[in-house]
Amino acid sequence: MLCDRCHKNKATVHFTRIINGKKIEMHLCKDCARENAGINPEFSIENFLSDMFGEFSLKEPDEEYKCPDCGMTYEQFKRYGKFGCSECITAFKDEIEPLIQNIHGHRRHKGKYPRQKSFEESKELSEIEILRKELQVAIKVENYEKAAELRDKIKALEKGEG
Amino acid sequence: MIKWIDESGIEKDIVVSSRIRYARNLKNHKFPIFLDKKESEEIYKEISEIIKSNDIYGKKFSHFKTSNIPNLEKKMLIERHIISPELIKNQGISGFIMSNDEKISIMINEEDHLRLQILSSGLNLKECLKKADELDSILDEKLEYAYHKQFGYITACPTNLGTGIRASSMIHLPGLVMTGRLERLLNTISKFGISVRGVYGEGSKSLGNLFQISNQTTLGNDENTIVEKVEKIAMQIVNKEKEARQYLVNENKLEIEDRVHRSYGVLTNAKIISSDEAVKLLSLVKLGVDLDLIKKYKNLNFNKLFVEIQSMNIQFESREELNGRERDVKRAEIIKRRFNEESE
Repeated sequence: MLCDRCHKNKATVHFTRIINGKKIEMHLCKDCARENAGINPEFSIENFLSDMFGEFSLKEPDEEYKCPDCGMTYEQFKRYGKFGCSECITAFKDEIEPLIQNIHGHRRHKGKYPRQKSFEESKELSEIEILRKELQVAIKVENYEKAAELRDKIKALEKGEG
Repeated sequence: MIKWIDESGIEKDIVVSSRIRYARNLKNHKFPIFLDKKESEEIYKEISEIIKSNDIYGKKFSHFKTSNIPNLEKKMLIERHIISPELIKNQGISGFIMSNDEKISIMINEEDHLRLQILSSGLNLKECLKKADELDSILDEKLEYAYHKQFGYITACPTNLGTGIRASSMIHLPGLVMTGRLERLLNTISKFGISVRGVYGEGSKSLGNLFQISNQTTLGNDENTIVEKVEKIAMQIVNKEKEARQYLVNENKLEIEDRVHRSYGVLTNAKIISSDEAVKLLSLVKLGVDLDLIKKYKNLNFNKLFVEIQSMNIQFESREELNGRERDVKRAEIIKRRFNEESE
């Protein structure tokens, strides 16, 4: 089978994409695959994961979007498929939550937790704390839209407590 | 000698080994992908000190920086499933701590800051989980783990988030392979969130009929639920393997006997043997012993022999680098020696 794109080389990369319920099949040679939509013909788990990030993320943050703690950009995270520090997950939470749901079929941990967590205050309060932390991050990276959203959530929770 | 495979444990004829791995990271350090040498050494020291000063573990462990270990030995430890190739890839920053019986290891600055691993012979996942949990709690007393209220333990890769646990068992399935029943079984298993891969050989092709099953996901179910599921499915596979073996003996006894004895003949008389061929033949001879088609060698530790004949282990035991042909000669000698020791 010849490549669908250049019609010269042998097609060695075959893939199916489902876009809005429509199945699109493509058969490409290595070079065209690499050029076309950035599909990497060298299969590795990292490539696979970083392709998945593209497929499942709800929105693409701008390329300069960084974890305020270690400086990892969202682009870097997509490329490596790995976090740079313990704060990345909070910084990229909106983008990766759908991916986590897709990998695990869940989005909330159940099971063991570290010792220091048992000293934490009541559950609702720690939820507010998390939101406050996210708010700080949002302000730091000047994502005001998200900051406003978080502020509303925090207010709602505070009201509920009062 | 390979210490951790002692041929004890439940269903040890079919289940070679069990393993529990915990992935953990520290809150106040960059993850390995961004670590520099200085910070990596702080982490190594911090973890190492906790183990050294512990009453239970203190004296039973040896501590290593990966870059200080000779190449041959590193690869030998991979073949024994004690450390991983990724640890060696990170050798500028990585280290490991290993118990003297090789059953417990802590890899430092592999993909995550910490990878705790408990190995055991046979089907023994619950016991492994208990030990992993104990070790983890000891470290937790002194370290500040990276943890997210919603997503659980934070791991470098999102595929390990939550519990950070990987429960796996290595299973010997010649009966299912020979009866052609394996593929269908594997399709069913994958629907339960369990993944299966061949232990030896490339890609999906498995040499020696050895397969590793493990949980696919780590978030949303607690540790006990995950381990119980893997153990239950492993038991199901073991039962199916037993049925397949029974079927072979009932329906194709002569053919099976023929294959087993041919394998035995070649394996014990070869002068030069590659690791691929040896693994293939060993699997069939082991089946023959399990099914009582070969009356001797009841005490021969086949599970250990599978590891012992891997290239690096051969070189490590003979304390020298050997070329391919020299290894194949040595391998044939080792096999012959092991069989002779047991027939006496």
